[in-house]
Amino acid sequence: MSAGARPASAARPAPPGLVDALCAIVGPERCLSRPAELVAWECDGLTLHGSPPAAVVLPRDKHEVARIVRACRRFGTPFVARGAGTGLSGGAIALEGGVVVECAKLDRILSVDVENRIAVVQPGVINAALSAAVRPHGLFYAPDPSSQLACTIGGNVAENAGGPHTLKYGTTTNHVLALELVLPDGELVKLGSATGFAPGPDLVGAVVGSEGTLGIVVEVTVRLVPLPEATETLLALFPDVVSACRAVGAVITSGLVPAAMEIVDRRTIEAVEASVYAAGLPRDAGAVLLVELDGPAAALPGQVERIRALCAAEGARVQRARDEAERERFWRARKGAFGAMGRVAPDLYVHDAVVPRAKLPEVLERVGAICDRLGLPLANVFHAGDGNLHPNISFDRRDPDELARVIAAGREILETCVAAGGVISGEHGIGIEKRDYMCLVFDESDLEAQRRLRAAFDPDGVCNPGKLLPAPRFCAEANPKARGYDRVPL
Amino acid sequence: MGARRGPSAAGRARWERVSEAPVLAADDQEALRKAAGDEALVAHEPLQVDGVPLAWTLRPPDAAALARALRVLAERGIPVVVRGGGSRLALGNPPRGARLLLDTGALAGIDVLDPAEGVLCARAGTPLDALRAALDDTVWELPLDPPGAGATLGGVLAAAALGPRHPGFGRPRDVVLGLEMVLGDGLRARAGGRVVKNVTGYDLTRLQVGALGTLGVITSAWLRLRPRPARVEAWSAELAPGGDAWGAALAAARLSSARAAAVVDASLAAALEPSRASSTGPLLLVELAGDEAAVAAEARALAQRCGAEPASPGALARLRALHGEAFGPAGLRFVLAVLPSRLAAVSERLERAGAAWIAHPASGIVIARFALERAVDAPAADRAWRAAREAARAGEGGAVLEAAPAWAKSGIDVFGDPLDAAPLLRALKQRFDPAGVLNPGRGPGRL
Repeated sequence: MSAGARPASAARPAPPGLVDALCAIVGPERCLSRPAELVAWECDGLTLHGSPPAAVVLPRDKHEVARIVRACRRFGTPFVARGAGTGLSGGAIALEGGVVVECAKLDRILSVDVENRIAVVQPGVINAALSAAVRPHGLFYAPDPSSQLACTIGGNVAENAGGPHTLKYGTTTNHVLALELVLPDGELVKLGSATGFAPGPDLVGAVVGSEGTLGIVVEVTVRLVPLPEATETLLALFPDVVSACRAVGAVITSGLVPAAMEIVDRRTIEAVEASVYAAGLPRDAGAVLLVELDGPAAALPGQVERIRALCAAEGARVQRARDEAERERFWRARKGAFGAMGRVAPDLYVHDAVVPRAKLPEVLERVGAICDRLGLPLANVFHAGDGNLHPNISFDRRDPDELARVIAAGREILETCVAAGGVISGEHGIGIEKRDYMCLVFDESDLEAQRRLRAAFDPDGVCNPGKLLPAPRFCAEANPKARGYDRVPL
Repeated sequence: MGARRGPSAAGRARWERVSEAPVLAADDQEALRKAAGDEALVAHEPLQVDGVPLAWTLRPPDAAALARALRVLAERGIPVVVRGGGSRLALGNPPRGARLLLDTGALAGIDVLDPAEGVLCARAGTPLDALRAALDDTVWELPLDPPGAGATLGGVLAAAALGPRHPGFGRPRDVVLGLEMVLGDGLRARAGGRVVKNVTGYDLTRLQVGALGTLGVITSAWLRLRPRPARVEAWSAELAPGGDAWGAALAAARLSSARAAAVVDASLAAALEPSRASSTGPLLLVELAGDEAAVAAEARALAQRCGAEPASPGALARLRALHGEAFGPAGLRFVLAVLPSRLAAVSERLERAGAAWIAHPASGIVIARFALERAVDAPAADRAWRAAREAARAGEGGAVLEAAPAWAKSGIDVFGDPLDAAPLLRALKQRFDPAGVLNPGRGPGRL
């Protein structure tokens, strides 16, 4: 995590007395403030942006979190909660000399109710650890972002994290029933209900995906899902990406709902096969479609045959995983992609946008053309069933010209997706990365409505400031013709 | 909020007086006609909304006119009751100071139906029946099935109304991809989008679903459709008294293809399944929907484990009707949300209190109806209120008084105990409806 081309912002020292006040709450061993100690919290998974915090505190319970927030308020210092720091939009960095509230020590699973399929967890619980803990009861926690071995439930709530299996199971917001939150004024509040039904405006829904700007989540009640009776994994090799996308469209309109449908393009296949993640894919395949089906054992054989036929109709050769080892090998082609791409160049920009599924072929073609024109190596790995693209651009941040082209390509890619009726983030969030692109999707009144939500929770703008929403009037000045997804004719 | 008290005698006396409909001053009429069009404002015989007579209806022809009208209403401080199809006007606390109905019925029509994508966009006043008809020739079905004739898309979303298929369809909040709305001061805003996965900006769509029009008026919505199942079968079984009847019901409701699964008490069994008129215990109705092979396999399992038999035609429609039925001379209908594992205790308490009930084991949603002997019977209403809440507590959940005569609503908050979130709800109301003109008093905490 070298500073590299990242705009170096100088550390803003904490106001006198703040660090002492924080130390008084958590003890000096859980309160870091020396510059050398803070380096690891300068940025998150989006390493292009960085900002050193004034201090980092590691609370052990929700009452400490509430006291930390109240202390920050007394000193007029902003704060931001942080999970594992795997976020890809800069959501967990402290701007304006803020305090990072690191949730790593809030890592307990507080209760598991097997009968009602509910778990109550602290925000620092690691996503995969929750699934592992409930697996003996025949249950799992469905949202499975690629970083699930490291990322935390609290971070997942902040970003409304998805993953490859959202096609069938939905994203984090479909699985959070209730939350306990420290509001920006330091008060603890319970939202939602363990039953999943609470009268009135859906405040849990408003908080999930709010990128840590509405408060600090200190307890999460989640829905658990039964492990499927059976799982089938298919790997289909297509001559090109367009035919793979057509097959995905055919599956969607056939009424089948696979658990996952993931596409890996030729350049990614080449990178994977040259790496330790090699899955034994033929390097001449134009695209690989991974389809996972799960459900009652009686239903799957028929579904496998239907998927096979739909893929074959688009010219694919289809293989079915015969055992768990083969299933893991198939998934390696998908999950190893980011690691494999890391070998290609020092840096990797992972984009995230969503388009209507039927638009995938034309959007991918345009994204390819943008990168070709700017001389950037592009590889695509994406959640095809959701229309969620992840164009990956390999680059070297030490080359300022290349970095500038990467940034330019990013904007053009997002513009292309919005023009196709899409949006600028499907699961990575807006954070600081895409804050100023919000006006590609929303106009000034749309943003004003969003500001009202934020202000109702945080009237003074102290909770993760500078994220998600552009400054008022920024959009009007930057892009007077801002328009969004297909406007409804009036 | 006084939610712990039963309906008060003083409140009752107020409702018994025949109150006159509030007048709309001539200059207010003129301003509203100018904003929404001459034909949009109509005077009529007073319509009662929770005992509040309303003799004017404003029916803007489109979202832009609705936004202009709301600006006028906010500037002049004229509170309104928002109405879609009117099928859920009974839900909510009595409106405070409302002077007219704001009707979204003219905002009707489907703007986009994308069969390749399985999404549609329709305006708020579109009846759900029209959406279903438009989907007839497609491979998609509408994942909303609340009871009530004439229910509109906007109204159903604002009320977060559930039907008997909610275990399969999911909560209304999870069906909506994007919304267009007008806030209380006339600000028009869009949130979400048309794509099935989206974290671009705050989730104002979920905030509005269930807000009962207190934070804005939904003007159109993008919905995610559900693949039409290849096979649908309904099965019913009498639940043997004693033993693990609820365990069996829960297992049935959790079958992967169970789109609906409900248990009705013995008093409703005959209405649900006329062929079982002699049944003396609760009756389980399960609708399996999905893949041919899965439905066939799960139907066999149902028959073996619960002794289920094919249900008679129309059973699900009858269940839906029971869900939303008006009955009486006067009756109270509650919706409880409880933990599924507590349904035995919850149903036992409801039964003891003389309620008829419909329980959905998969979700823990219970509809409880209390019939009243007389048109006005405050002590009976009070007993029902206490019993429903006690049953909900036994289920570690809550109870909402979903439908009741106006007199039975005074002195209580129909949504239940004061919420932890009350200060947040007040702050939201203040930001989204600064003049307090949208359904004032109707929401939780009487906001």
